[in-house]
Amino acid sequence: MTQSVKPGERSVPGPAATANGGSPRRLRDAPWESIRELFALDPTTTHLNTGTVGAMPYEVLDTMDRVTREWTGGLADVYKPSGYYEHRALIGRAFGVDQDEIVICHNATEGVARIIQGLDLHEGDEVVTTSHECYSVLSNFNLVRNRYGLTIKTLTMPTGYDVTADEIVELFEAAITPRTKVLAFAGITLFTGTMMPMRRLCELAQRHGLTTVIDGALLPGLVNLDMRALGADFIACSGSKFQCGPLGTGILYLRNKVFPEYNPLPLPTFWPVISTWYPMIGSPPPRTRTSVESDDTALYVQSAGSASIARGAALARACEIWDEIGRDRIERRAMELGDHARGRLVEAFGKESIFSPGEDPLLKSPLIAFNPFRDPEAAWNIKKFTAFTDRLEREHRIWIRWTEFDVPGSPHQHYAARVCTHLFNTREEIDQAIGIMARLGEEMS
Amino acid sequence: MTVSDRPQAALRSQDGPRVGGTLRLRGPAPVHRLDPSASHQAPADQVIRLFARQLFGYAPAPDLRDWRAIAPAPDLATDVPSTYNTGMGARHTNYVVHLRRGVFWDTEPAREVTAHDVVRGLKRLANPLTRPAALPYFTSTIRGMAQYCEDYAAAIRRDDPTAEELAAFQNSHDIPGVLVLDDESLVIELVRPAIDFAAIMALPCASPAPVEYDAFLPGSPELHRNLRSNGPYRPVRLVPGRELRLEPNPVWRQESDPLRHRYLDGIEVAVEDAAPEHVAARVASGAADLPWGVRVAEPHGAEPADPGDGLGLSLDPYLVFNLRSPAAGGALADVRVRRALSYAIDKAAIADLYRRSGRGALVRTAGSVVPPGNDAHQELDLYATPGSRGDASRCRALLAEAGHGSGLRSPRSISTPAWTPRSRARTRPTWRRRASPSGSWRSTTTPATLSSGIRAGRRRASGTSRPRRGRRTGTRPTAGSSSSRCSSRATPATPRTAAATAVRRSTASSSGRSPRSRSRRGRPRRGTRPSGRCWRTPRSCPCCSSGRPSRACAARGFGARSRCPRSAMPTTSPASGSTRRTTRRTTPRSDGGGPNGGDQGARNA
Repeated sequence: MTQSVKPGERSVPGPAATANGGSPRRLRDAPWESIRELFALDPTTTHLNTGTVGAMPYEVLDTMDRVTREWTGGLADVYKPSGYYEHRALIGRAFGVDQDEIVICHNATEGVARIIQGLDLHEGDEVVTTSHECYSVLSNFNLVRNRYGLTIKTLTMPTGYDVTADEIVELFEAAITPRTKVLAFAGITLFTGTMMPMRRLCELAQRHGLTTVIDGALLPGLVNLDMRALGADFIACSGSKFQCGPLGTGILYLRNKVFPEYNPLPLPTFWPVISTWYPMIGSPPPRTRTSVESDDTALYVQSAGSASIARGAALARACEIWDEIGRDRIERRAMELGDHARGRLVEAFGKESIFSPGEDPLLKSPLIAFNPFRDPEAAWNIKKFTAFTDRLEREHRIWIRWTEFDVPGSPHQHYAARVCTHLFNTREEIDQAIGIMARLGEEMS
Repeated sequence: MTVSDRPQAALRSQDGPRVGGTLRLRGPAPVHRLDPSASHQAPADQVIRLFARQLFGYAPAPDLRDWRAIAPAPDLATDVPSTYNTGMGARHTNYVVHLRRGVFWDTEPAREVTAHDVVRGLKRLANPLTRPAALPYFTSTIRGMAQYCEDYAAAIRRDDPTAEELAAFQNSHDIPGVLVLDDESLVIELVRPAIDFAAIMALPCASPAPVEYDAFLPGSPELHRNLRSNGPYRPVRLVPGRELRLEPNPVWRQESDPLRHRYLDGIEVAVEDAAPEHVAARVASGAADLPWGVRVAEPHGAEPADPGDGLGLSLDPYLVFNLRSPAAGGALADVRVRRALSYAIDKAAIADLYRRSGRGALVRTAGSVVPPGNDAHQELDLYATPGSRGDASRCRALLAEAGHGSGLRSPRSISTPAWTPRSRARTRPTWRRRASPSGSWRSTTTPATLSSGIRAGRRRASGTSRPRRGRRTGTRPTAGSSSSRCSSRATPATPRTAAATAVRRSTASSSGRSPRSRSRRGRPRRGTRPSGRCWRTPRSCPCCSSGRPSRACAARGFGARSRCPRSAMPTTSPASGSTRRTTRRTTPRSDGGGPNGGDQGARNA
């Protein structure tokens, strides 16, 4: 009979341990060269696109494979482990919250969809968001707009090296009206890599009594995140990007208790639209007004029939590895590499070619969007960017992506090349890749 | 050799369409010009699609109730741009269009259709000589198009510009919202999201134009002798208003055309002044293969009276009144006068006439501007009257209350044709404001009737599709067969003139004057249209009292003989114009009588 695997129960020697002669590894102190060996990276490629999908550690791959095999063809009850109780508790601890506030879902898109569809919105209500949100955010808000008769106010985010947090907060503040019910924004925007001033925006929302929804797809695994301290009501995250879990994993945070120091507002009414264990008769207990939960709200969302036990276990393993390395350490590393890449990009292309913030330290992230071509108007030409990224991949095995976004005051859709750095990247490969990009950009200009 | 004189066995493959022979189309709809940029009329558009392809089109559908029959599909473009294929950003105002490779003009040597040809086609739309009636779709949608039109008109001040002058302007001025990325790709930027943009670009007037067209005046006989084709057929003979012949284009390739097929050796249109029953008889006897410009059978076998049965309804006809008109002391600014107008109209009479005209399978009176089956439709009729017959007493009472107890003189209106693409009506949550390129007037719309059926705004591009076996009287979507609109010569009165009559009768009864006495006072001058009917040309602009609209003014968006550009006030309307057949038939003008010429103008006459 097979059993579900409890994270942390067994010790899985990884490449780092082997490199240290089999002694118990200490990832917290391990050099980055050793940590890089944990990852299933193709040595012939330069992976600068973690914003799309990260590289899994071997141990995550092994966990995925092992648990899949353990459960394949078994007769065990799959429903209880599908609740991911231990995994949710472990992941919750990593992000400063509890099991009853964490859901393991399929991806950030599913998470954000289940949040938006579950909000208690009515005709005439207003949502303030930005045009730099992921398609899944805008699509789901448009769906509830059509369904309930909401107003969706879509702000165009400022772009460029000199953008400040004040500008962004003021933009949101000016858009709030008495009808506004929800403030929705990305933790890090996927198009320009702007680290949004999340805490300030949450405080702004709290001052106006608004519900906050954060698309945190790019947050876990990169930012040493204390979800509760952010003061948001909902955060939908990806498990497969900077967290480097398997594809098809996501993490969803739902505020389920009130900590006045972070968010004094009552818990928002929420309808878990896909649920096995939402009460079949009657209603759940009234939501708590204290720091003690009145119900396991996350379980309502988590319970949706059978789930991929292996994926949940593998995501939990990825989170464990991150905890072993140290999330604060990882954040510093990724940000340092991001700053290094930003500096190189500025050298190669100039500040005016950078669409991502670089001056305000609050807004910087390791995702950097830029125009590699001499002509600023080339930023309107999608074909140049698709050709640029294709050639980098095909001719140089450098993996980045292009993004598209609008710019305030411009009628043109803008395009950019985007690089992301993460803990497994090295300064040398970043230097080499950006050198190639500079030459290619010049050639294609 | 024609289809009908071939041996039957040779006409049809085992299970496929008929192959070979000449498709003979007979009916009353004249074809005056084929220059795509100058044309926006039925049924000529059917023919234009055979030799001038657009970025998007419509796939032939065996059942027109299939939603795909009215969904724009890629034609010259490789895809319909969307957020899914990275052809459109989240703001929905930027369309990236990539052209299909392997589409050639029948030039010597054959030359590939490029993004520059697409841009040239859009620029030609703005030429001050032959602007199509659909131009406002483009000026109100594409960023900078309205300004381009104004600049174009301002630059071409002469009444008789040369082709070189027009080409010089086009080649030295760009539409700001149209950007060529390279030969195969372009970006079109919109002033606001328009989910019917692909439908607009599927109009025949949005066809690309080869550089050879720069040598000819738009719509001119010289151009018609030098038309270029990128479709399966090409025009080889056009006798304006009389006959037309198309033959296969040797450089067309099936593999680069996802929407069309070519089965025939030729297509022949002969204009015959015949009533629908006569056309039907000719088709039945084998003297013709398909009707042209007249409906002789229902488009599908289902219950046509059921609006939910597929084809839906369009608001047609309707009346548009200029609320800013100073006529009658600015009476239309008073809501009571507008309500009186609503009560003045005998919608049932209009519907009856429209029904009898054979134009639509189903005609219903309308109580609101958005037809059933469209976003924002509501079942309401704020000014309902018994049997939709109007209410003269309430009309009189409201007019008296508004200080017009002795009657109101002819508030001007514009009748509206059926050329609004149906897809636009289906998808726009609110009725699109029709405006001049400069957009300088405010309008209210009075719905009259709703009609169903395959109309100009609904017909699909499929002149090459399968002529239907065993149903030769059907109006399947084949070349020129699906439209039935411009048959006013065969009918004593068009619905629009009937609508005008209904309005006149009502207002006359309220004022105690007869329509005759008022028309005598107006005593319009008359000119002769290419179609052989008359239009009314005023001595002076009724709004600004200046002289007759100048050509320069007209060039800003309206034909000199159709509307005053200074106020967008109609000078030809169902309320003021008249329909009268003349026996004299004139040679078509090269400009076809302005943007409301041709079929559109015919309906307004």
